[in-house]
Amino acid sequence: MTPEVLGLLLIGCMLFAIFIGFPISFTLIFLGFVFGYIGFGDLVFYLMTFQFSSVMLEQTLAAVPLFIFMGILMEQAGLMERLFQAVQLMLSRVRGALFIAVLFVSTIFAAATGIVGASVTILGIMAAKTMNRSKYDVKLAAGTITAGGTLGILIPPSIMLVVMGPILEVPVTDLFAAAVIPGFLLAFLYTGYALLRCYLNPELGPVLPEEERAESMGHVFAEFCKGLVPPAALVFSALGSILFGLATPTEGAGMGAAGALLLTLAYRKLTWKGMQDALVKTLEISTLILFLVAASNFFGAVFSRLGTPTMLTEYLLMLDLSPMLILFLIMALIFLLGWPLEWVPIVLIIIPILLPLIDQLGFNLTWFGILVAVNLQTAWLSPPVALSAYFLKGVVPEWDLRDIYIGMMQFMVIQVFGLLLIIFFPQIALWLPGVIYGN
Amino acid sequence: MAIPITWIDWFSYWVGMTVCWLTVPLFGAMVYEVVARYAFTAPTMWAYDISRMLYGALFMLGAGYALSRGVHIRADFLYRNWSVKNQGRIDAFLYIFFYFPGLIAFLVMATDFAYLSWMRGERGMDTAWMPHMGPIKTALPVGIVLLLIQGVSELLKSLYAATRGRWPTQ
Amino acid sequence: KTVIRVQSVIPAKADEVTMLNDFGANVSALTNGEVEIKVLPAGAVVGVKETLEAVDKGLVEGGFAWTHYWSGYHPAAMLFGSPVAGAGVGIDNIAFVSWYMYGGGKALYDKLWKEMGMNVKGLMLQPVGPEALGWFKEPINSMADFRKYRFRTPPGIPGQTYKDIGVAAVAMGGGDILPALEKGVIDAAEWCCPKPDSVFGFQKVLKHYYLQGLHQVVVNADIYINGDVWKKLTPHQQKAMEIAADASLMRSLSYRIYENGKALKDLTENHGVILHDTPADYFTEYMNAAKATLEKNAAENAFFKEVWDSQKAFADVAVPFWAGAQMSNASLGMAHAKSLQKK
Ligand code: NA
Ligand code: NA
Repeated sequence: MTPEVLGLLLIGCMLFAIFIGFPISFTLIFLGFVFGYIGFGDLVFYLMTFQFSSVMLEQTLAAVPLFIFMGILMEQAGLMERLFQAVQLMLSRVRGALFIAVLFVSTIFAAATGIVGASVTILGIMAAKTMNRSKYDVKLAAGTITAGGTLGILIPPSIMLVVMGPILEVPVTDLFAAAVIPGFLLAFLYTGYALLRCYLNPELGPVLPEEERAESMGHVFAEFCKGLVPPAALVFSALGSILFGLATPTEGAGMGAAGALLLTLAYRKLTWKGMQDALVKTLEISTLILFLVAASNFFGAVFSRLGTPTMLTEYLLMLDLSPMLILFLIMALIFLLGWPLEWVPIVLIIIPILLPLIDQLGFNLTWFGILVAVNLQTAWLSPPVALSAYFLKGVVPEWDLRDIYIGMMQFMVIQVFGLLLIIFFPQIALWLPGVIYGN
Repeated sequence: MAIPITWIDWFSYWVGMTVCWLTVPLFGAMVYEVVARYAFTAPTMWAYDISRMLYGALFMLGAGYALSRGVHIRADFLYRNWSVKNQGRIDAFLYIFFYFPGLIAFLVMATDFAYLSWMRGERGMDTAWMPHMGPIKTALPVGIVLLLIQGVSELLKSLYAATRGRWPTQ
Repeated sequence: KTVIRVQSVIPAKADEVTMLNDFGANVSALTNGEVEIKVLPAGAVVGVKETLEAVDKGLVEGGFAWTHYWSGYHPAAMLFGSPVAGAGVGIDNIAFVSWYMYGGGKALYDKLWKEMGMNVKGLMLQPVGPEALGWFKEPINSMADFRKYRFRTPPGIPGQTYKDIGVAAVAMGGGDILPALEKGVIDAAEWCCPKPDSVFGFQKVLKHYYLQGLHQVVVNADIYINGDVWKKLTPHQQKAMEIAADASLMRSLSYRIYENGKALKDLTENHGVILHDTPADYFTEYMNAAKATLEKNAAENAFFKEVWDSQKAFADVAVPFWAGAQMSNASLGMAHAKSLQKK
């Protein structure tokens, strides 16, 4: 058996093995070890060492524990719940009001950072409790949070576009400008979808029951000032400092963590035990996320080292079809590879192989880059290597993973719809860079 | 069987309670950097490196503790429908034949990796501060050792479940 | 047939990779196709920072970077990859090649990998200096102006040297630079030279460009091959690779002049980029600080001292001649450049 075929077998085994129910990180590691060892001997253990060391030194990921700490500290003090309650109180007659709030915050998060793990977990911490109590539909709730979280890799600043720029030889600034409208378009489609579902079936995002609504506008105003403003101000100043360039994402997250500490002090909610609990909970969730990131990186590295992605891509290159059909096949290939892989190996390995073909077909590379980016967002939402789902499960253990999967996959369909829109209306991506930079 | 489980879990608990404090200097460094840059136009050389090293150490050294708390996610669609005895048997099998051999091989390589870093006096090359890399690279094998230690407890728990039909209570 | 997979530390479309493929084609032709160099993009098998160790262990057969990329393993790597301020003794990239080929550099270069404890055979391929000082949002007329700006510097000793002369040096990865500039986290930045800089897109954010800089006057990229893989090659194949590598030195140098020239013309004519001369006090301050750093390193590390002594001995002989000749070259060239501006 050639290593490339071994890689296909690896994917087949994974689809089964993950669902045995051993912790996913370790399942990915075992599969990588076994297939890597068969494919290229004990070098696989070096590969593991290098991949873990790489993730351990990835500074942007340091934002993850910081945002989580900020979220947990504020949740402990009851500030997060209050924030979402205040939103609900203000929009008490709107079906699915919390979905709007979640997607709004996700979009801000996406514009400030590109760290999916931070966005999904903090929204899980912030919104899940309120959503549960208001009897929101778990599937739709999980779908909005996970899909909203993945907006971060599309809406600038986006690490993915930064990596893609030099590969496509397109200035990163052009890609950033081109990603803005598609990003907001998707946020809009998500919101539209959630609200439409609620409109058709009010059970999915119930309005506040009569007796819980505010008695007077005065009450709403008071709740707005006390419940919404302080925590929202903190979240927005942490994100805003990133958005307006005062700080890098990790620095902004650090400021947010320190700010949350001061805020809980101000509310007299900080105790020694509370601090220790928040820190230890931060450790648990961060470890879950980051260990999983490292494990899936390693898994992807084994798969790539076996040469399977290259083989599939080269197979595609041999086909002689019309440009549009080839574009669809390329998108399908990227979409399918997104199930077992994360975006990193796809951008680094697949795109360079495809590039000569794309050049030859005469596609606009900025447009193509955005298509790839929108397509790759689904990699976060496609099980079994669907990190968004596991991040969310980690902070909201009471939600069934099956429900999270189903919720996410609805949004994958919207994602595909968005992708088709951009394919047929390239101006969605190309209009803004044209206006800003000419040509 | 219960006594080693208790001891190991107690050990991992204290490791977790200690390691989690790394978050504090992590955000401390970030706040210091932002203030130094804006208030004094004096960005530090060290904040970037310190932050990623603390974060890297945090999740690697916390891995064993996280295992003891059962936070590593399972896609347990099949698993949860099995009897406790079968759950224990499957877990025990996977620990013995995959977990320990895999992690021990990983430990050997990671130890060599960290050892070479100390021997070469390796410094970080992607920043101007150029810190010594030995300490953070050592966190990798140490984290694996902590995972192995906690793995013993998890193995014993699954054997307990496999033989007695119930999980040991904490 | 031997396939040598070479993982680079830069994207597949970079000029360095073009020239690396050119080297590979020559190797293949000289060995009748017995040795094939297959270039893998950055991060294909391991992360960029792990590339050299991956070659040492045999996870990939070869790697490609700039020599100084590995200064973390041994400080002397800097003296080969990017000797700061021309090793403090006025060596430019052509003079560097002279030192490498005929001034004892090659033997010391082979020794470098042994000092690092890496089981690799290295071949110097691409002199890619001089790099530009960088991009600024406002013109600078003196070091006092320079110190007002937060400046993205290269990592390692060249960056530390900026810190030493009081510049607010910010170190950040390549991917962070442009967003940081757009948002004003930093005000100025350096990357490489006209062609790579324009691909990066600096011209869209900053318009004031300074070509003359000292932090990376000399920059060299090289290939290294796992030692066991190298030993398995026949003497003829090894010789073919060495000859192809020597040819690559000249090919890269000449390729770069034309490519950067085209890019610079495009930047100034089509993107409103304004070229400036670097303030005179920069050269003295940076040179002094660089010398101090080099001396400190030489005092701490015997091999570093050995390499630097060799470069100094070479410079004492060659630099006065070469600088004089270069002065003539520069005057000649600037006369033509000025006549173009008048048109
Ligand atoms: Na983003
Ligand atoms: Na996926």
